[in-house]
This record gives sequence, C-alpha cells and structure tokens, in this order.
Amino acid sequence: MVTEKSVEPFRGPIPESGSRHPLLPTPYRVVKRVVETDTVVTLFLEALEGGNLTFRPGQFNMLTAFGVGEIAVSISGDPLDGGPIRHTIASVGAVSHALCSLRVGSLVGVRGPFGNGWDLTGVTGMAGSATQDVVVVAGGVGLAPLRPAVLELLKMKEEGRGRVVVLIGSRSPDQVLFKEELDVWRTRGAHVEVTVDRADASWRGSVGVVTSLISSAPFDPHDAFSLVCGPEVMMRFTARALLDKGMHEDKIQLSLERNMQCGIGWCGHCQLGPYLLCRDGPVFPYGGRLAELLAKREL
Amino acid sequence: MRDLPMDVLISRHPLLAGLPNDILLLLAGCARNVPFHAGTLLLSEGDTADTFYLIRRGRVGIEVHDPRRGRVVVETVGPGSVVGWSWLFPPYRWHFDARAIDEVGTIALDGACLRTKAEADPVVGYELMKRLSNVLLERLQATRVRLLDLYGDGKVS
Amino acid sequence: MVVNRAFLDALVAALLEYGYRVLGPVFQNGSIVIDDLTSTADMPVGWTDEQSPGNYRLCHSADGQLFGWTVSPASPKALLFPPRVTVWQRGAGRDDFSVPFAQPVAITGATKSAISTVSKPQSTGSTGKVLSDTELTFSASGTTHFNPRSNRDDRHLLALVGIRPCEAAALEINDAVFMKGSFPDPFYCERRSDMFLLVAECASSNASCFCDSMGAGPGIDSGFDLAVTEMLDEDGEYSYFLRIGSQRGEELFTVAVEQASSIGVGTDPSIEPSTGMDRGEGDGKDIPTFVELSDLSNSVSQSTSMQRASCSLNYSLEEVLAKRDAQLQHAKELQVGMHPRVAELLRRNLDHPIFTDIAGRCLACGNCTSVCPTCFCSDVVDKNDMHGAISRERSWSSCFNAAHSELHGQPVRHSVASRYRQWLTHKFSNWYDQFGTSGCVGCGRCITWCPVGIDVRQEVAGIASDADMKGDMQSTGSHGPS
Repeated sequence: MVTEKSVEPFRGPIPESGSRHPLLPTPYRVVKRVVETDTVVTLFLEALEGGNLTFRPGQFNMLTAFGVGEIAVSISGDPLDGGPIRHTIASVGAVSHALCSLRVGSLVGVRGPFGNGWDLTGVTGMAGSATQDVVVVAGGVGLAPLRPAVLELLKMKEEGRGRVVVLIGSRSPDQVLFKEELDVWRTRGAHVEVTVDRADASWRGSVGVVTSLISSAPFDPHDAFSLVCGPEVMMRFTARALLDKGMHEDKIQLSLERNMQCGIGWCGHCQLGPYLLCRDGPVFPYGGRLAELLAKREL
Repeated sequence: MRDLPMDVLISRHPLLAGLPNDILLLLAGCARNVPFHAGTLLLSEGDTADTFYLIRRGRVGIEVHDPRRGRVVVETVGPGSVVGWSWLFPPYRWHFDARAIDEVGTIALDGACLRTKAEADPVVGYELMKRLSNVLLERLQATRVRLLDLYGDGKVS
Repeated sequence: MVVNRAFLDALVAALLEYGYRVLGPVFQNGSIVIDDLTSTADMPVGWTDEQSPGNYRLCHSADGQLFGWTVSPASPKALLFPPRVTVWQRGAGRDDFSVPFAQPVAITGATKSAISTVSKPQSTGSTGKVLSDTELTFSASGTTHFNPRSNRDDRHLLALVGIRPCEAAALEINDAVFMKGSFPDPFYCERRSDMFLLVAECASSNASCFCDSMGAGPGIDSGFDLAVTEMLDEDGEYSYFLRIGSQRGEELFTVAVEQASSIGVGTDPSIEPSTGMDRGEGDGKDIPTFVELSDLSNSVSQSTSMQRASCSLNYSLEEVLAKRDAQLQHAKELQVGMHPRVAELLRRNLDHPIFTDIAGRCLACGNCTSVCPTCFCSDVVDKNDMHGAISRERSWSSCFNAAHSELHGQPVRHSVASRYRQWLTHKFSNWYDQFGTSGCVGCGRCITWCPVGIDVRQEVAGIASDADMKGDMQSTGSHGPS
C-alpha cells in the first residue's frame, strides 16, 4: 500500500516542512510501452498518487529502475497534453536496459523535472522577432528531448509563427524514431527531412550525415534559431554547419549529456568545465564558452 | 521555366555561382540541360565517365550493387550539389551507380570539354579545381563522420 | 576578553548541557581527528603537527598548548556530508504495488539559535529532526572511517570546538553547494543550520598551509559563534583571547559565566592563583576565568577580582590585539601562497603540458579529494539484498576515478592528466563559475596527503612562469578544435 503523497518537487531555496527529499523518487506506474526500435522503448508513466509532474520541453527526469539504479532521461512527451509522462529510452547501460525491459504495470521511480530545457522565447515573440524560423536538428535518440519542443513549435506555427524545419539523422531507416508521427508533423506544416547513415534500396529518403541536410533546408539562417540534440560529435559538426550557413552562435542551442547521478547539482559528475550540466543546462547556447569547451579533449 | 541562357543557368548553381562572366560563358559551352525520371540511372559503374552533373532539383542516390544486399545507397545528393568525379581522372570510368530518386533536373557538363578548357586556361582550371575540391572536402568530411557510426552505440540485446 | 583553559572547559560543558554534540580535535591513533569532546582534556594538548608535501607527523610541542597543531586530516565536511549515507531504503516485497514507499522527510529548516529555542539544559537539541519511518532512514551511521564513535548518537545539534579558520571558510563553501542552491540537502541543512562554531585561530603554519593567499586564514573575522586565539603568557601559561561572533555565541558565553559564578570560582576575589608551574588542586588554572578587556589604553579591567584570579590574564585590549596580530603575521610569513591569478591562469591554460607532466607523478588515488574540506562529488548507488530490499546509498566520489566522467559506460576523462586538470581547474577556477567563490581554502591537506607530494602551489607557479615568459597568460597548447 502506498502511503505517501506525491508532492511537487520544490525549487525554493529553503526546504519547507514536509518537503520531499530531493533524492527520494516518486512512484509512477508504466501504463503503456511502445517499442520504437530494437534498442529504444517509450514508456508512458502515471503517478500513483497526486497527479503527474509538469515540465518544459527539453527537461529531464531521473528515472529509477528499482534495484538497478537511477539515470537521467529526457522527457519526450507533449508538455501540454496532461497525459502520462513519456520517456523514450535507449538501452545503452544496465539501468536503461532495465527500464526498457519494464512491462505495463511495473513501478518506476521518478524525480524531476530537472534542467533548463529549450529556450523557445525566440519564437514566442520577443519584441517583434516572432516570425523566426526554427531549425530542429536531431541525431539518433536525440530526437526524444526535441519532440516536446517540436510539438510546442507546431502549436506556435499554427498561430502564425515562423517555419519549423526538422532535420533528423539516424543510423538506418529502422532506427528512426517516431516515424509515423513525422508525417503528422509534415501535415501540420513542418518541413521534416530524414537522412540515414546506411540504407538498402527500399529506403527512398536521404543517405548521408544530418549536416548535409542543412544546406538545402528552407530557412533564413540570419533570422532563425536552432535546437540541436544528438551525439556530441554530431552536435559540434551541426553547430559549425549552421554557423557556416550564417546563423548566429547564440541562436544555436545544444542539449548536452554527461553522467548525471543526482540531477540537482550535488554529485559533481556532470561537470563540463564551468558548468554543472544538470543545474546550468542541459541546454546551452553554442556561443559564449561552449564552442571552446566542446573542442577541448577529455573535458 | 523559360529558356534562360546557359551561362545564367549555370551561374545559379552554388558550384559556379559568382564566377566571372567570361568563365561562365566558356563553361556554358560545355553544358546542356538533362532531366532524369525517377528510377533512371545518371551514370553506371564501369561505364565511361564523360559527364559532370550539376543537380538543379530532385535527389540522386549514389549506389553500389551488392549481390547479397542488392542495391545499396551509400549517399544521396540533392539540389545544389554535384554528381560525378571520375571524368576528371584517367581511366575515366564510373566507380558507382547514380540513380534519380525523384524527378531530377541536371545540367550536364561534358567532361572532355571541361578538361580541355581547364588545361588551356589555368585560371579557369584553378578556379574550377578550387570549387570542386571544396565539394570533395565536404563529402570526405561527411564520410568520415559517418565512419564514426555515431548513432551505433546502442546495444541490441 | 581573555579567558583561561578552564573557561573553555566551561564553554564545552555549557554546550553539552544544552544538548549539543560537541566535536573537536582529538588525538587518536597517532593522528588528530575530529571526534566527540567532553572537555579540552580530550584535545591534542601539547601536540604539534609537522606537515609538508607527502608528509605528516605529530610531535610534542609545548606543555599545555591546546592549539599547537595546524589542521587535522579530517575536516568537518564529513559531519555534514558523510562519506557514506543511506539516502533511502525500500523494504523487501515482491508485489511492487504493495511496497510502501517511505514517508517524505520533514525538514524543519529552522535556523533559529538552538540556545534561544532550548529553554533549559535537560531538553536536548530537538531542532532539525528527521521524521522517518522504517522504510526510509537518513542516518549518519555510515561515517565510520571518519568517526568510529558516531554510531552511538545521531543527534543533529552539533558544536564544533577548536576547528580552524580555513575549516570554517570551507563550511561556507559547502553551504553554497548543499544549502544555498535550488535543492538544499536536508541532511546537510539539519546539521548545519544549528551548528555551533568555536574557531581557534592559527598562531603558526605548516609547510602545506596557504590559507592567507586564499583569504581563509590564519585569522577569522566573521562566520563563527566564538573565536579564540591562543596566546602564551610571560609565565609560560596559555590563555585565550575570546571573541563573540553571534547572538548564539553571546548566549553560550553568558551561560558559561553563570556556571562559573554558580560554582563560586573565577569571580571570587579570595581565590588567588598560585604562581608556580604545578597544576595541582586549587591552582588558579583550574578556575574558569574571564577578563573583560576595556578600552585600549586602559589595562585595568572592569572586574579586578576576576583579573586577580589569574595574573596571567593581565593584558590590555591593545596588548592582546597586538599580540594576536603578531601571531597571525608570523603564521602568514611561514606560508608559501597560491598564485593570486590562479583562476584566470588555469582557464587560459587547459592544454598546458604541465598536466601531462603531473600525470607522470599522480597516482590518481583520490587522496586529495578525500581530505579536501570542500570536494563534494558523490556516487549514488542502489544496493539490494536477496529478498528484494533496496537501499540507495550516496558515497564520496572522486574525479580521479575513471568512472567519474563515464558516459554510456565509457569514461570521458581517460587520461590521468585530464582528471588532474578537472580537479585543479574545478577547485581553483570553475568553482567561481559554479558557486561564485574559490573552491579552495588553502588548508594544504591535498599537499600533505598526496602520497607523491604534488604541491598545487608549485604546479600553478609552473604554469604562471610559462605565462610570464610569454608576456601574457596564454601558453602553449592548441586552443582550436582538434
């Protein structure tokens, strides 16, 4: 029997009486499980009590596979749909493998949401610049944290905002996430292109690196901003390609990944030079110090 | 599209954009408009490499035929890019197939014609080589990135 | 004011009476550690420490000297951020749905003075309590290697007696990490909010000390409840210049005075101190004594009776301050400092070859991170028993472990050079970006306890001299993309 109340994670400076301990997970139940690819699973989670957490696009949760451990996983759901919390998880380690193996009805520990998320103020109408184009560049499972942003951007587009371009790089056609949904995005006005590293003749899409899609994508680089998520090397190359195209470095946002064991700035594992990624990120503009930091080896 | 003069047409392709008019006129003499239907071959492995294609619209797949896997697309190139390098170097044989994925519009430049003009005028030759090298460099770097198999760290279990 | 050692004992007694768990330096197993105290007799009286790169040794110092040593290998960090702590536990049970989750932990967040809220001695400190059921425990029981006796007591009302200015400064650095961010650590806050600090200033330095250059010692001007400066009198006895730094310190001081009065000593003019060196019964040294120091030039204190209680306390405030200044100056002069522009130097020299050079010596053992009073990295690990019970443990981690930077099972920082760089740049440079201050207080532990004697000051000086030779702070190494 579950005895505790689910309390919203506090964000204030002083913990108040009865506040939940920041390291104590809230129990959620897997209510749906979708196999996305041979290594990626999407879990839909419902809080046992107290309602689901609310989040912003690009934020992440710490998910506990009980008895195995806890990892940071970005939220891939629609922030506004109020439904179960959606996590798209790639099986790359012991905990993610355990999470991917969970069945409907299993219990998952959730802490979060953490991190800053994508900065969408560029589209939401900062001083008349509301018509900026947005270029979303995703590599592999990097599409997962971008999905909430795309959904929010499409809503904004329907209200007359700028173009939404989604460029997706994947290993092979069968590894492309949310395939059916991409057509929905297209019908809602997004320009969606997918390129893969390798394909057989049945693949009618592009073959090549995701950066090769940038040159011919329909956006105005001088009045656009970009959201990029994928392997770090892919993000470095993408950022440079966008710079070459004429986009300002501060308008290129990257979502970074490092080992996170707490999500709240205590454990020190996710440092990248001056940044604690969980606390200061995971989303950073490419301008400022990030370009230099990413170019440093073993930082 | 109305018939634009060929030198104007080729100046609109990123590869040749910004070249002086005299060079454009010179190169236009080697060029003609060639469309391809989806599924047709632009060039075929082993054939004589005599043409250089500037892609104006549609996508082209660079393929190789593997008896085990059938047609394998190693790369696709789209509008603004180019297809075919083997016309530059002896023995002038294509190493891959190139097939139109969509309805493809190209400007076909005669390889022998380009070579002759480049040899005759080193300024033209150098300008052409600089631009071709840049595309080659991009392709080489893209290929290297793909060799990293960046998305391949997921373990199947 | 100036007090004698007996008065310090009265302070300790008052703290104990008020329910504090009193911890301080204790001589134990050939070392000085932080452990429970009942009086100054538990402290390393008459001991001094020799410290230098890779070297620590305790020797006898002057008889009766309480604070003749500098810093112990143990820092107060472990009391607030235990080396290993169970974060939460879940009982065994196969049916996930019936497994009771733990009750949320109540966090009092009370920052009021414990003395103000605790009315009388018999009520022990009840502020800062963890409410936990059997399914969830926050306990300090894991602090064994730091404090083997701590199992007996899990009180959260802590008084640190005799810690150093650099250690008090380190606590403030820890505060930024665990208390002042968006997610305060309840374990930390409960203990830290009501922590009582009696800080002992340093009259000397060891060869690893560099607190002066980090602005964290050897004196202390704020951030304490009570501060003492040990001074050798002309007659060979030690007395203590006592300053009050907080309301809480004031209250405790008053209690100690009351106690001293109630036992009829210290303020009784009929008791004359003996002038001999023996410390037998009836010796004035055993009488808690304090002397209020009046105006600068006036050597006559307000209470002549108290002053007469011990002739050794015959000072003017002017004299005492001058003596303190001289002692602090002496301690500073013994120090080799850290380069003043270390943060900038490191930021500009991430690819300096010195990191590879250091890696040739560094064992990546993590000793420096263990003894550092501010290193805060931790691992969070789940442990299971055969019945399905789970406990999540948080334990100290070190950036010298390859696994520290692991991403998808592979370390980001493969080389020892990159791990050393991480540690050094984090401590001295990136800390400013992350928390607004340096991460170092110059306690020198990382130098003393490095088994190969790597001296951070020397290594940074090496980078600095390279930078000077080049006329700016740039140095070799590629700065562009690799």
